[in-house]
Amino acid sequence: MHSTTPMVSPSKKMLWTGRILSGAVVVFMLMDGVMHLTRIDPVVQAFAQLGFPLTLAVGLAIVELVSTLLYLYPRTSILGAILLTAYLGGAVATHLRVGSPLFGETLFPVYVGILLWGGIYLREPRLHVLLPLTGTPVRRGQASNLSAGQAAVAPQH
Amino acid sequence: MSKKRLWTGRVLTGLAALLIVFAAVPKLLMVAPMVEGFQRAGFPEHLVPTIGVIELVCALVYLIPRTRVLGAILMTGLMGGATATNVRIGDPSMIVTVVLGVLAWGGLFFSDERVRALLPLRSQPEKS
Repeated sequence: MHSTTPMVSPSKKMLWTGRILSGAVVVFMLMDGVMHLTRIDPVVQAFAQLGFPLTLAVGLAIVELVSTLLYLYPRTSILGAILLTAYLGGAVATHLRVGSPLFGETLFPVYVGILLWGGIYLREPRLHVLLPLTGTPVRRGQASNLSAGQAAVAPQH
Repeated sequence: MSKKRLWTGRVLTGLAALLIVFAAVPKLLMVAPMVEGFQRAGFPEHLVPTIGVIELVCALVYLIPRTRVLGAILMTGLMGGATATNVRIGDPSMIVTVVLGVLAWGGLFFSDERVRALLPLRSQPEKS
């Protein structure tokens, strides 16, 4: 056994807090993506105000929806979290460019990003040795038959 | 862990960090082509050094072994911002920033098996 290898599954409380955080992000991103597809008035206005050509709305919506679905699907949720982070980084830059209020619109995507990583962090104990601080990797021979993957689902008793 | 993988990872990590530092320094010095690039992208000029500082901080956090995963997440946000800026004006250099993001995560993927257990597919997912 290695001290940095998580041996326990998340507690019920952590699991459910994680599910609620992730769920809120997923609902928000899906709604935002669908709105981009419908091109309703507020979307048209927002695109104009942010200087984005409306022709990009469908492309952005597809990137947003695909990333969200990857985040939702357990096997690809970390990949989805990374893609959503990049998408949200794009939103920050877009608001920064037009001088939106810093702690309002500009940093709002950062808040969403914190929620989305917080949500997966609480549900995935293997992230605990990587974030926020990364532990020293297990060296060769030290734990050859105890990969992080096996350890995380090892029985608790 | 194989030595080859470890070193592949280190080279990718070094490359990603180096390219960000190369992008940051001219911003801090406000060199003319960089400022013009910002103008072309419709970015206010006074943000040039600020973006440079953000880039340096992200590269530094990514290079410190204890914070490399957090650094990769920050780099991802940064590259997403650069990509969106280029997509908006139809600048093909959006490819470069996407590749940089892939390099940043590729470095961790090759050098750390704990990252490989989670990316691109999460092995044995939790019930959630």
